[in-house]
Amino acid sequence: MIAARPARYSRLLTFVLAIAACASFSRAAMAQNWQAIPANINISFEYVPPESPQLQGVYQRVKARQVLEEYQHFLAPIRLPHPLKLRAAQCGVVNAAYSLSDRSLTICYELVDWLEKEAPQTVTTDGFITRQAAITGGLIGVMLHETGHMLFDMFDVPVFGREEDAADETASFFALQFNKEVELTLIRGIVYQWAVQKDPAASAPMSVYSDEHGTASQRMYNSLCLAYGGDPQTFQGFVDKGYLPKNRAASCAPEFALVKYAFETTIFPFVDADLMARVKQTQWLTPEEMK
Amino acid sequence: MVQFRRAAALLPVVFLLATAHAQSPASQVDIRYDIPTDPQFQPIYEDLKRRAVLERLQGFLSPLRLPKKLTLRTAQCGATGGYKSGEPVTICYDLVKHIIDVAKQNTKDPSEQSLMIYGTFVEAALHHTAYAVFDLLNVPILGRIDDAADRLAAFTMMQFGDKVAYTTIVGTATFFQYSKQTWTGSDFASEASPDAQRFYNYLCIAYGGDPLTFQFFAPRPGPSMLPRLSEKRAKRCEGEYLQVRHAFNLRIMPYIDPALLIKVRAGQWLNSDEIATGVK
Repeated sequence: MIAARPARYSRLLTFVLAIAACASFSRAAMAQNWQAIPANINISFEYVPPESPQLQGVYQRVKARQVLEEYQHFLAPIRLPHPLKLRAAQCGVVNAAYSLSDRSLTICYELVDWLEKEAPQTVTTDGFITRQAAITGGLIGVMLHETGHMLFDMFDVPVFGREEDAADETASFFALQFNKEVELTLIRGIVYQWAVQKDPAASAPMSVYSDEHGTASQRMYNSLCLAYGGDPQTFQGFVDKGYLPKNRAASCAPEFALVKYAFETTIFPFVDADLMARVKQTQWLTPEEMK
Repeated sequence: MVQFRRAAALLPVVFLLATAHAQSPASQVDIRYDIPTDPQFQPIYEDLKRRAVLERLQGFLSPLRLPKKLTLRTAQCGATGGYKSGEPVTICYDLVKHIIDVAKQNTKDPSEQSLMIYGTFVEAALHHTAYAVFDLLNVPILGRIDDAADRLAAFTMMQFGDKVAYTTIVGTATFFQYSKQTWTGSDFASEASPDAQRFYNYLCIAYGGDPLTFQFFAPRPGPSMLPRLSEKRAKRCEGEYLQVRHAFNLRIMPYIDPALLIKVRAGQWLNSDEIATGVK
């Protein structure tokens, strides 16, 4: 589960409509790509219509974009021992969650709404993160995080560290399995959603640290560190600009190696390598989404 | 402190150092006390040596079948110590002094000082050793290695009866509470977690593993010496404990000699003066 934030229901930005139009145009162009990968037969999906009129637009866009259908194909290489249900639904909070009780992964419309509202109008002032990267990368980052929880549960993965950090590591590690454009889009989106949230104040009581999740900054730096550790060339700019402090950057290659080894030994044995190679070569994002 | 003293008063007390390491068979762990050059560390060096802390750790680790020799040492290092692959596990006199300073600056109660000093020393030793175990046994680590080392340390503290668990967990938590570390900005880029987060991680593993002994960590209104777990976190603690136990059983247990483990678990690993008076 990602850290819950207060639900925010305000008017949708007109910009989102434009994005939806672009997405549906490029979806037609990209459809063949991801549909060439077989769907994971152990995964079903469901778009639950929201009760809130304010979330109707998000619901329509998520459904039209075939987010869950595409994810069902994206997870094709994983030999799941149990059925998994993907769900998009109104939850009452800004959240996403994997549920152990019914093995379902739910993306809340409120989360998509929040990502759209928090995203920069066009691009951040430093030019690093575009609106599309913030929305697309942010949403996929959350889905990958919850997928981490799902994998730990389904495969009884030994997790020595904190599970929420392990799920964040899953998101960053998976994000780095594709081409440079996809890597950048996903990591930028993941980083942005933490960058816009506040850390506890220095004067805050100790109890603010009781949560099982790290603080927003910790999660941002962890994601950046794995990205830089896995692909220093692509993410050097984040170190040069000071977004990832140099003293942490120095430990990122071994941190990435540790996560890579953990995946190779605990999760990859359940992955169809040939299909995974095809998934890696598939264009999952539209050109518009990678701008 | 009153609350945990009351709970601990129910516990029988006798910790005999001699019993502990006299029963310990030879292990794949070598030990070494490096002589400090800075005179301020001399009393610490002598005290650790007199207490045979490394001999005890050596015996404690004896069931572990490591693929190669591991050296544990105490040393003056100008830092907090740790482990790097191929090097000894180092517990620094500097860290021990810091622990003693924090204890003495924050409480005049000798039993509470004792609890913090010995509990936190054990925590530091187990935390650093966990790094070596992960490395030497090629243990896959998910979820940040420094937190993984804490969780393995906390889990280990819970395996040797109430007295050891109580002293080490409460001692460690009290130290993290008093360290009053303040994090801002890029402090959060550290690969280690803030002491406040570590505090709750230890509480959660302890409460999750033994909610009866550690019931004073449970969320409850009213004053308490140590901050309590939140309702939200407390609900997860059994799962967190079981998660570490599962990982331990899968990845470390196969390298442990079960007969020796029973002997080690039956041993007494802390001296009577290493337990706060209230706990005795």
